[in-house]
Amino acid sequence: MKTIYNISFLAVFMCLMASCKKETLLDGSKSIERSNALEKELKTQLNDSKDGWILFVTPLNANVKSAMPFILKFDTLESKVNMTSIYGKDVSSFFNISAATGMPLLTFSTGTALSAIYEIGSTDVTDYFFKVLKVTSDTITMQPYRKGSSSASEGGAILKMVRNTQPTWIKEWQTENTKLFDQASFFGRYLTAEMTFASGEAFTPLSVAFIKFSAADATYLGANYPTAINNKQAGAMTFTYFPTPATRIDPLSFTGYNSIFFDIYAAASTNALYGTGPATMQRLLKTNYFMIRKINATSINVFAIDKNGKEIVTGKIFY
Amino acid sequence: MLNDMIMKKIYILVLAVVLASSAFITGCKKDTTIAIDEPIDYLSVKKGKWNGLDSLTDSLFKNYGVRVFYEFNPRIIDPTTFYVPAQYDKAKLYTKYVIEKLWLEPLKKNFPKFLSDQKPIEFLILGTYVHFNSISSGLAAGAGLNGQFYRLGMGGADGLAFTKASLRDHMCTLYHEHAHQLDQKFGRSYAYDRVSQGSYYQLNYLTKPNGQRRTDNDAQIDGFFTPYGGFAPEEDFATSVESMIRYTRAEIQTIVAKNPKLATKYQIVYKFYLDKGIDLHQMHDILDQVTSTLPF
Repeated sequence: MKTIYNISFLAVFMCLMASCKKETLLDGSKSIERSNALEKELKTQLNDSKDGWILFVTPLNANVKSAMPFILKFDTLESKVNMTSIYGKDVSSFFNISAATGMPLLTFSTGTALSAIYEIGSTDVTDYFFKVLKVTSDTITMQPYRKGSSSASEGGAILKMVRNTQPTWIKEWQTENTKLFDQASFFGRYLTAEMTFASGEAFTPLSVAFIKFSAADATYLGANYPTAINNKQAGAMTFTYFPTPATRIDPLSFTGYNSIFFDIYAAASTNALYGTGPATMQRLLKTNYFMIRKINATSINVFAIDKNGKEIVTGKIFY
Repeated sequence: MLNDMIMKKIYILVLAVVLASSAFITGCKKDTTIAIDEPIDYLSVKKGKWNGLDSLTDSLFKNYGVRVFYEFNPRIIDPTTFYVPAQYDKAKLYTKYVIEKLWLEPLKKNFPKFLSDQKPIEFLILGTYVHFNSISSGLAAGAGLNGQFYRLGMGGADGLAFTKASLRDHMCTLYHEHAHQLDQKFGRSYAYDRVSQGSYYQLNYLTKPNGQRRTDNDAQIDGFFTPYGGFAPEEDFATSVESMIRYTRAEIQTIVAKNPKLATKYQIVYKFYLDKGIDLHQMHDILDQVTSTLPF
């Protein structure tokens, strides 16, 4: 009796299981559907923002409190992206949207400032293709596909690209038309750098100097330094710092689009020019770049923002 | 007892119904044909509107059977290799002048057998250089991707000056990288490796024992075309090809006369290529001629 009961129970159970619809569980096309829906939304949003999107990139150096803004305007019809950053203004390149691991993959498919800083290796941009995680009308959340080394797991830091609502810092940054690199009076002389930090931390004025390279060295850097290769808006110099009147360090720096930047080149992180020099400046100034607000007769007003667009370093470099 | 009998009948009835329905359900004819699901392409490459370079690379593929890649995706970049794409304008110039005008077109015209048998079916244009294991490993870890039979990649397109001299020089590097591919494919031979066995400089190839920098002439007297050729047999082979593309036949004869070992290796490499359908000395002259017609 009990045996019959057990058998019949099992049989009913088997019937129930056999009649289950399994496709919904095993059907991988759902993932494609989900990805396609996200891709459609991504294209819509990329295309919809007249002033484009702002991607904030954070350096890995913990001393740096600022983030670098990249203003990106996407033309989804031509697959072109116009990029304005501290590295250059209105630089055109191509992008495409493919798929990866169940989500859209936004690829900056030809060389850009983003692939250049990826190669510099000191920010959370650890790839130039990004998995798109979430799309809303004001934020696109994405993640570099790789972490920049073969032993690391997949997927880098979560990055946010926010809709450009023309925040005031953009105007502050883009008003100055004078090019610092052409202003000979600021080069090859002692300058003083004074900073104010939004955090309220104190700052002791620094003795600094902008020193240009020889033509041959400048050509070498222009052909080999990732953010300077073919970048006509980059001017190579050192952002020299004098800890005492008798000692100096000479970090590699560049003037860019209304900017001064001094990144740590990860492949040469122990080198004074490429690595330890810029690291010292980043520790002292709490940023890896300045946006130039105004160039006056004997002073330059500079500032840097954080990943929320808040001005966190305000400075004056003068003689 | 009676109840037991009734219960038993009921259970048997239930069991019969259940088994029958089970048989019915599982025995249903589910589909007229067996459905084979299309494999799901999780890394599908989607391409929007073509730009000028897309059309150019497509025409090269149709004419020569070599597919040029200037943009990358996880399908192309393997997980242990790191590189960046070239800027669009540079990639376009590179495709037009280096790949088509200086490499594929002269080969097809003059040495079609070599092209059809030995061409890599994929060619990658890199903006800077190849890094292995990490994007931050070395400033220039490798000039090209050459360890794969079907794919050749060249680095440094962004930094390449588009002048006659610079492109002519780049062709020597391109043939050098391709030589590594042929070396891997066929083997440079047991005999080749024995010629300079024991005399390779290994990692000290740039510096002489007295601390001075080693020149090409120093290396040639030692039996290598360049100091880097003295690094190891594989670079010896590749720099031989590079040198034959760089120098005229007469210049090569003068160089190899400096050391009989170098002359022997030169003969092996020259014949190795001749057997595959290309005369490297002729190719040198053709490249000189084609370079002179470039519009820079």
